[in-house]
Amino acid sequence: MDYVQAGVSGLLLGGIYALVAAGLALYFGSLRLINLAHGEMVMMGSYVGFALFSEYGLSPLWTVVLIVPVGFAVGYLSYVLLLQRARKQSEAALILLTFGMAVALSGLARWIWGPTPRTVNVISNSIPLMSLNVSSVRLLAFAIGILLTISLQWMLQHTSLGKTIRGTAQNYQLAQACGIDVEGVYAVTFGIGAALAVAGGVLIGMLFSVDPEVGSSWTFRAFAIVAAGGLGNIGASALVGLGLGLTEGVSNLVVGSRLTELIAFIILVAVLLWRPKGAWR
Amino acid sequence: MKRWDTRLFLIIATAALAGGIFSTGLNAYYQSLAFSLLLYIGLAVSWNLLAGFTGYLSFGHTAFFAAGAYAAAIAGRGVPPLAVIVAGGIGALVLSVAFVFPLIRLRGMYFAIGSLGISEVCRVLALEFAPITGGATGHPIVSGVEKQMGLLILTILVFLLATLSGILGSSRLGKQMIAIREDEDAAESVGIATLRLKLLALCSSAFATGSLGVMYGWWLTYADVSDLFSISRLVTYVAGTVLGGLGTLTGPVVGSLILGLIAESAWVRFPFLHQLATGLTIILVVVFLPRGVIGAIAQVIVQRASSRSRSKSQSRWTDGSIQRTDALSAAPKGLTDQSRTEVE
Repeated sequence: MDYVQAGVSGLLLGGIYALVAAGLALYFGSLRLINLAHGEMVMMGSYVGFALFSEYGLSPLWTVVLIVPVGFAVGYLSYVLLLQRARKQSEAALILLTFGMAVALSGLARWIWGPTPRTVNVISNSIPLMSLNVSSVRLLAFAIGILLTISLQWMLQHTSLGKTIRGTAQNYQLAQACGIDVEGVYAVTFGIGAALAVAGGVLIGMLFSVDPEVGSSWTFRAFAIVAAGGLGNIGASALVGLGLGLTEGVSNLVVGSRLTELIAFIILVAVLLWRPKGAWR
Repeated sequence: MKRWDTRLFLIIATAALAGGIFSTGLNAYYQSLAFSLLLYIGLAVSWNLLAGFTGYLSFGHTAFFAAGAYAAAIAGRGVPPLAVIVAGGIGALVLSVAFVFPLIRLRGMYFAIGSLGISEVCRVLALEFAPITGGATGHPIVSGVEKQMGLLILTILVFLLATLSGILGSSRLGKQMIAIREDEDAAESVGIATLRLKLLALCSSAFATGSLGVMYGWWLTYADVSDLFSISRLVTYVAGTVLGGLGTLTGPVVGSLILGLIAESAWVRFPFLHQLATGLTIILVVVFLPRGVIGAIAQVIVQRASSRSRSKSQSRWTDGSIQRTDALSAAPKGLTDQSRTEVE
């Protein structure tokens, strides 16, 4: 029964994994950009959720609503001001730039909030579900995570913006020839990815404590999920995210939390070595 | 690696040697400052061996560094210092061949994120294997090496490393590595053994980093997981290399000397602001000064020289592909970018 309990709570966590990975999948599929700062964006989301909760008593649920436009604006601007220039130079410049962004964001959090872990003390009820106990906060975070992931998928499939993003990802030269402002689409894509990352961060902040070092583990997780799920394939990534959450939940019980951290990495390396250019080819 | 770069590099390396030896006579504060600076320089030069020459940006070097320190911890007092240094290097080398080498077939960003993951895995493994590493509590390092002696050995080690990297820079081997950085497919098509050269660059880089880890272990007399795997040290020498100019000889030394000095003096009073400033340094240099300080100076020098004697320099660049990469990187920025986009 313990395993089922752990599995269910891991699966609920997987909903947030899916959301965090969806952001990365989106701009990785479109821009071929591995953003080493993705996890740090998640971390900033958690911190903002914490700050608004502890200063103004604002519920993290409202913070999610507030932070999405802010995350979008920051992502959009950082693409226009920084990433776009580095992309024109070389791939190495882009890697170093996102690495620098990761370091700077982590440093910013350290400067503002200090190195000690911070926690949002939201009241969590335990909901009995058949013979299991499910934390209400976790269930809520799962629901929001899945909801946002699904709405992203819907946006990509059914709106003209989504079609533009997909078209540009498929063939940017052709998109350019059709009169699409490719760089503008890239900026929007990156903005959406950043918005999803910080939104995921707020949800994660409801469940776990956050410290300035936590970012890189989210980068790995997101990238492992995206690599295993397929390029830009948000649906498949979401399933892999749920699967990873489930696996981690159970393995937490079996081998302990420290070795569980390695699972995402093992998936990542296995995919990279098995299909060096990614599992999607 | 241009000729003036090599010359300037040798002057600076000699100055560092002299400075290091000189500082052994000073008080403990200056000794410790000199140690930190030399360590940053050594690490930047080692990192540049892989990242600067072949263009493979590795963020897994923290693991190599830690391997060296743990070698020092295991060796203890009885073993001769030179043997421990070599053992630390070999430890890092084994780690690099076992973990990072499988990843080196990957290009660009895939390699970068994979290597970042390697260091994370090694950190977790170091925490798990408590009998060897002491786990989270750490492991004391006893050695017969006094601080003064340690500083002297480090000085010599860094000088040797710098000299080797200088020799590599002007050798055929080094130029083949640069060809990999500029265009790996083209390098392979003209018969350069890219995989073998990447392995060589990785191994020498890892070996050097591991031996520096030994020196650090001796100096600190304690091996602690969170300190050895701390990303902030990696960040400092990566940022230093980028600031000075990735892929030049002098750049890593100058850049990490600047950042090391700032890190050791000003930021002691603002420990939390330090990381933010280092991150911003990387961002700003990458975006606005892509060739780094030394690279920007080089561009000016080369431009002036080429406008003075255009006919002479043209005949120099026509004999062979390796020189062509040199010419390409030495060409004015606008021209290079144009030709690159045309190739794409």
